Amino acid sequence: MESSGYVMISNGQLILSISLVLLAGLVSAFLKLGLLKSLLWGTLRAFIQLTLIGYVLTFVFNLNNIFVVIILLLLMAVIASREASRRIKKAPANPSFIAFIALTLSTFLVGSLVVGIIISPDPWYSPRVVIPIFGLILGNSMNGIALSLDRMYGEVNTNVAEVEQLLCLGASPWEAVQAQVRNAMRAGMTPIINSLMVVGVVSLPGIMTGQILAGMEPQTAVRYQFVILIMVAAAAAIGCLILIGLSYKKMFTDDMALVATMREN
Amino acid sequence: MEELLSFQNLYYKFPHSSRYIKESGQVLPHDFLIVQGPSGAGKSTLLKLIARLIRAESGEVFFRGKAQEEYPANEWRLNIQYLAQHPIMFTGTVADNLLQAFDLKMVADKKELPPANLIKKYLGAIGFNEKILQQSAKTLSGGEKARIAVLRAILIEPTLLLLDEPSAYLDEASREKTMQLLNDWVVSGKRGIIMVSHNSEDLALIENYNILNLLTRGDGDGK
Repeated sequence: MESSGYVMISNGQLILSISLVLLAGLVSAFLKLGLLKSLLWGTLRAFIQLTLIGYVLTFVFNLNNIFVVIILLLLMAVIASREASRRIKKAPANPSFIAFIALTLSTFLVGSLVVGIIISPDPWYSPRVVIPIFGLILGNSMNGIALSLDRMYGEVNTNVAEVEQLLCLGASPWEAVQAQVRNAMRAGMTPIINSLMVVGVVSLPGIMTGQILAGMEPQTAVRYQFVILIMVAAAAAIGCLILIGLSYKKMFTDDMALVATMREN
Repeated sequence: MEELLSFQNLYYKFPHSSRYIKESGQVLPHDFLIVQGPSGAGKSTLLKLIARLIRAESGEVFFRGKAQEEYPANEWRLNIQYLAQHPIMFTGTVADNLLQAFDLKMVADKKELPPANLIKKYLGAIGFNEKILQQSAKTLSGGEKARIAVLRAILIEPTLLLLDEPSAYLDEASREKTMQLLNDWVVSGKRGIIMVSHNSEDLALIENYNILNLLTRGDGDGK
């Protein structure tokens, strides 16, 4: 295998790619879309953010220190959980702490299994492997848990009468929201299951594309991609389960009745 | 005779409004307590407070002489069955709906499934035959759903029923049958019913009842 077979992008070529943005900007200006300013600002931001993260990653990779890696991963989990809970409407309590617990547990569980057993780098906490892998899991399960939690609260809120009827028939809080919980879990997992269905046929995922461009044999890149997809699906499922298991009780009072925020429309 | 249920100075303030409820009352065995009053006075809310679906700010509810806190909420609600005005049917057949409660853990542990001939007898009393059992519950008409919901509540064998205008969706013939069934049910055991009703014809079929008139309290500035 030619390990040095990846395609380098020179500074000149990088600048050349900006001409594509200018082309898009020209179209925007011509059609009076009013997007020129945000397009240029977005391009500048993307360039600066990526350059910075390039330096940060190089720095962390060279440090090769387990504590730095763990702190960085926890920081990523905090940001992901805040982003996830920001998208949730109608929450009876601030869900970001629960989201953090769910994301961290599911990511560390699945991530450690994948890194430790399947990829097994040297050292086992190698930041070059751990950070991108955990980042991928976090990013994907963040979407899943945000969808599922939002769905659970939304469904209970629109079906208060059904939930209360079940409570009156003697249901425990868990039994009373079974239907809503099931729909919520489904909502959280469906995007990932769908992506399992079409991968390789409709879409070539970014990781695989990147590895092929970096000179890896397609068969090897495909194996990586498969492991990553499965791991993302597993992490999303575990994350949704933990999150819903931890948060469904917040919809109820200690008297097994729905709290006021869930009853109000 | 000792009352089945009593509530004393049950107080609840409506959110985003200056209106409130402050009521006392009691239900004797074999008796109806009919709740009346202008709309917005909190008749439905009073029933939900007693069913512990909403928490009262102060006041006490006693069931058989013991305060509500002494009963777990799910046990309380099973004994004191609240039925919302708008009948709720779940996915499945009418039979599934009638026996819905018996799928729940607490009920399955505590109660025996009602025998088929009892279900048949009750169905007949409210104007249905057995064929309806296999029908999909969500396709029933409003009046059919309302009667099935009453039957579902009775099959659990509660001590009290809290009914919010049970005849709102019923035509005259089914209303008479349903009221007759409810009256027979209350008279034939140590049971009671609290019922919100505006309809004087409902009362014509009931043997023993007291009336609780709710007043609009607070300045009634709407919701």
